[in-house]
Amino acid sequence: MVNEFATLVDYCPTYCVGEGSPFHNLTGNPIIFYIFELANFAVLAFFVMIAYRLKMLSPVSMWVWFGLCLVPLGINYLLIDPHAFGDQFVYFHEITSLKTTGESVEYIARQKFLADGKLSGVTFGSTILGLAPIPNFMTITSTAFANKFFALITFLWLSRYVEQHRLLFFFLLPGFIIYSSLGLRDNLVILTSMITMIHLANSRYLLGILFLAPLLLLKMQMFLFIGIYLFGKLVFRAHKSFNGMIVLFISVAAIILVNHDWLLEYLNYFRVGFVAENFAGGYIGFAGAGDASDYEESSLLGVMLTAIVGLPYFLLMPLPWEWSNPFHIATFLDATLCLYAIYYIVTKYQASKNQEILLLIGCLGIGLLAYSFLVSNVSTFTRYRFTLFLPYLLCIYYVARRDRQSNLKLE
Amino acid sequence: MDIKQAKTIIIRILQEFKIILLEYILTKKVLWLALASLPFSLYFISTAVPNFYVSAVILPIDTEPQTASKMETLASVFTSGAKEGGQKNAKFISSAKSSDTAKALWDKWALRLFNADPKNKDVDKIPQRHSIVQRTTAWLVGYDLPEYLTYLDLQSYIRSAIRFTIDFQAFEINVRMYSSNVDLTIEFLDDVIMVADSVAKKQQIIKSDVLIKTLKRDLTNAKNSSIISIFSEKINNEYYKIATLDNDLPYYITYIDRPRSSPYPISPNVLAIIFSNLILFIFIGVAMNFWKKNKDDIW
Repeated sequence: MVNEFATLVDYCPTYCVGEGSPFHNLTGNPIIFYIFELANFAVLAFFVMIAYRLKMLSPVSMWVWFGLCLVPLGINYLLIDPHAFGDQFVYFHEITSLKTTGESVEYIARQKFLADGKLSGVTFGSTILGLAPIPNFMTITSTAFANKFFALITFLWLSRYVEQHRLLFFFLLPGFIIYSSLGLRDNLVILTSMITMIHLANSRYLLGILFLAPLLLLKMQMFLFIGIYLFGKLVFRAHKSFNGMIVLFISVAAIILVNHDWLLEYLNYFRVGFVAENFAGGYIGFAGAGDASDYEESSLLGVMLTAIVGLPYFLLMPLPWEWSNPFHIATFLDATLCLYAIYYIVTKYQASKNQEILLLIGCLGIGLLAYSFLVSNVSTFTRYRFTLFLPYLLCIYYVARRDRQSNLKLE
Repeated sequence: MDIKQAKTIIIRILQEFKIILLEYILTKKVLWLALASLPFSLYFISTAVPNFYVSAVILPIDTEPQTASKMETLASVFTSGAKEGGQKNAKFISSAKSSDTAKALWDKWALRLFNADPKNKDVDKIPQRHSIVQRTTAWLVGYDLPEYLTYLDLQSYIRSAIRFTIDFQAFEINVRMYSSNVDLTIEFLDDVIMVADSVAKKQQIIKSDVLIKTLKRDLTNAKNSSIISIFSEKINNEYYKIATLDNDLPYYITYIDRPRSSPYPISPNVLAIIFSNLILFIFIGVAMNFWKKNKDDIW
């Protein structure tokens, strides 16, 4: 069932219109909201039960997944104001519009028209989210349930490669719980990246490329950061030889130098764009009172230095004195847990000399440096950081453990 | 994996599904619960308030008097005609959402929209309701909550309840809201649109008045004959503008479709309620069966 009047009818669990008005019962009807969304939960819980019955989930995982499937009901409207992640409404409107009319919602169609008919990432993400077999797409929480469905499927698939109780660590990171319980495409980016990287780690390049391709539309930068790993592994055998890795990074450096002017312009453009987005009054405010030259770098060396100097802050932000809401605490916890997890994996599985781990950490480093240069808005970039970190962390764990076990067998 | 293995796996999955279907879903308990969902759904549907979609389509018009020279006017037709239409749309929407419009509507609509006490006839004495949390916070922090509603509450209401969308070519404006009280909403929407237009017009008249005053002041000090001539022309233009605006004609917009209601309610979604309740009740039955059969293994 689809809310075909999604841009107008918002079945929110609280009264959206003031209670004093005779219209107060128009938008908010808590019981109807819960009927629709509990039906979505029921279907996901049913999938969890089937998975348990088919022995695809352990009892612990089953309980954890029952809990995880309930989280979307408690995030939007209850824990946070859904407008704090306003893009959720964009995805929801697009899904309902695609499902009812087959066309994009008007404001996305307009953007598509202005971009010469180029398929928008929102439309692509919404099309995928709309494929989730949940019974209702009536509120933004339904989109969050669609995300949860894909997270469950990915968990089941990944449990072929990683033991479930260890896999639960990754799926129980605060950041993952939050992003997979919101109606955004970040969850899709994380899951697609995880699947791509596991395929690439297992040298299944065709499947890897198949799953890498959607990232071109879902998140261009993730496509590039994972692309380096694919390129290094496939072309330079950088996962086997240190020399190969050096040649890879020299090649990357050479490509960067050849495209020096274009790349500098591109990076400055995005850096200033992010600053302007965060500026008082947004882009218009920045156009009036901002100065782009304050944020632009004139050389690649400057870009590198800014990125390296800002990296420690980028890795740990938001720092305790910057916390202003529970999300900041959760993201800080994510950051510290992810960093400690890398250290733990490398020491526990003695992976400091594992060539593939070095390659993975190198590729992750390139991504982190790029973001570290662009960083301006804490909320946006902690989201980007987590989206980049989690797939790499999982892949690093998988490769380190796999190689350690095969070494032990050989010994 | 060869074909034999795949076949074995598929057979096993089908067998498991058969077991799930027979043991968990197609049981008396689940079927009874599925039936029980129907009266439950019917209760919700019968107590829900049907809400209708009320919408109007309006078009920006060019009634703003031209004060520029003929050549400039001609050039604007070719260069900025479309842009001007888009700007008019935006200006009209801003006017509709402004506090001036809410202020102009307050006397007529405050009692009809917000008043819960039929004895109260004073628009400035409509009590404002506050939630327990708001009252407790105010008591704890030590500040006073507003006692009565003001036109600013009507402004918030207009901003949250009425949606304005500009069409693909930035040409028409779709104004819509949804309501259980169709007649009241049609009248309200019509008033908001007309008052927003008239408020915009009044603002333009005020602007022209101020300009005339300033220009007249500067004119008395001007010595240069060309400046005197330009100032005089501008003053005449502003007077002409006031003369053309000070009437009942629309300023920014005109109606293509006056406010009207959808023939059927768009909310609540009856089928979705029946379907969702059915799923929920079936799930309760399945979960009970699941618990009964697996309670010793799932810990």
